Amino acid sequence: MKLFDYKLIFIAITTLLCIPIFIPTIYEALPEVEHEKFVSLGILGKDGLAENYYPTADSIIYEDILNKWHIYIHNNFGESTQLLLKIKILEPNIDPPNISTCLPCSGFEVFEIRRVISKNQTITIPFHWMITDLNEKENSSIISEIQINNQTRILNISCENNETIRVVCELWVFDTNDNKFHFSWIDLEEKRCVWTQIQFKITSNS
Amino acid sequence: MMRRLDMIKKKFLLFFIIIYTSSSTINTSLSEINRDIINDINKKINIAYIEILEIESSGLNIDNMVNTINIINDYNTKIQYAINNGNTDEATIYINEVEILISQINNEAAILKENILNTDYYQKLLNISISTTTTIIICYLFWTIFKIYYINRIQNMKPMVTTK
Repeated sequence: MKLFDYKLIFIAITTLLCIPIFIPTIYEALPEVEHEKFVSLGILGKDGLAENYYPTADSIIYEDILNKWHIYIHNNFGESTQLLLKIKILEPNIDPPNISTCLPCSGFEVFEIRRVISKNQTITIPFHWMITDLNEKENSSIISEIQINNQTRILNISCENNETIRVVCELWVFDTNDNKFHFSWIDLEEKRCVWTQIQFKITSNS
Repeated sequence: MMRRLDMIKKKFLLFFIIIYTSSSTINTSLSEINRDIINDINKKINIAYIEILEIESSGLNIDNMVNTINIINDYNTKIQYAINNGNTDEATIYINEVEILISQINNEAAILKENILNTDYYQKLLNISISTTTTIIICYLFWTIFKIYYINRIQNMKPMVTTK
């Protein structure tokens, strides 16, 4: 056998040896694999845990007693995401956001904050609030003023005795296509949205 | 007497309408100005965020810019609260802070973008040159080893010289 008869074996072995060298260049050229995009949202209690939301064991919020809650957000969008957190107080007769149609609720918006969250980052936003003006009548109560993170909000929320009020947290996601915040986003051809809530009764007697 | 009273009534009504209209116009224009200020800040934040996304997609570190934009977001909340409470002096201080921070992000983004263009170009060039050089060296070594092996084999195949 002559030397040039080994040409095919030579080319095959050289190609096999060269493949690992070109892997970084090939990897850069390949399109990114799509993964599930989602945001986790939760309300945490006084110590940053999913407990101790209320001053006492029963789910009652008292006037002039500070409730130290924390809003937990984890970004799994695969890139930095700008989110808008809206906190609303809902009267008993108002429906919460619709998870199937991804429609936000029409409650009384009391707090709004924007946050840019890095890829796979988790943040907690303090939500320290208390009812500072509660007018109790015979069968109903009216919240006229609340304080959130040392800022006062005037509002008018009424409920009958023994009815529950909700605090609803909605996460709105910034869309770079139209430069607007939307309550939903499309992931793997499916509409998604995220919100959470806490229900409680109110009273002025501490 | 009645005519005079009518005249006074009409004048008073006219005066009241003028006062009411002008005050409501001032209120509307003030709230419009406030809305414009907030919209302007929001637009600037959105532009800064898009800049951050562009830089992140190039694989550079954006932690500092994210921290700055979140400080701006905090100021934004304070501005809205101050404006809603008619505290314009406080709002102006925060607006000035926001302007400074936004220009900081834009400057950092511009510097990083320049680096991206250079780094990206040189990185590709480096990748290709390293790959090509390594391939050539491997081929040369392999060919040399193979030649030595082949020559030795051919030499071994030569008939041995026998001695008497």
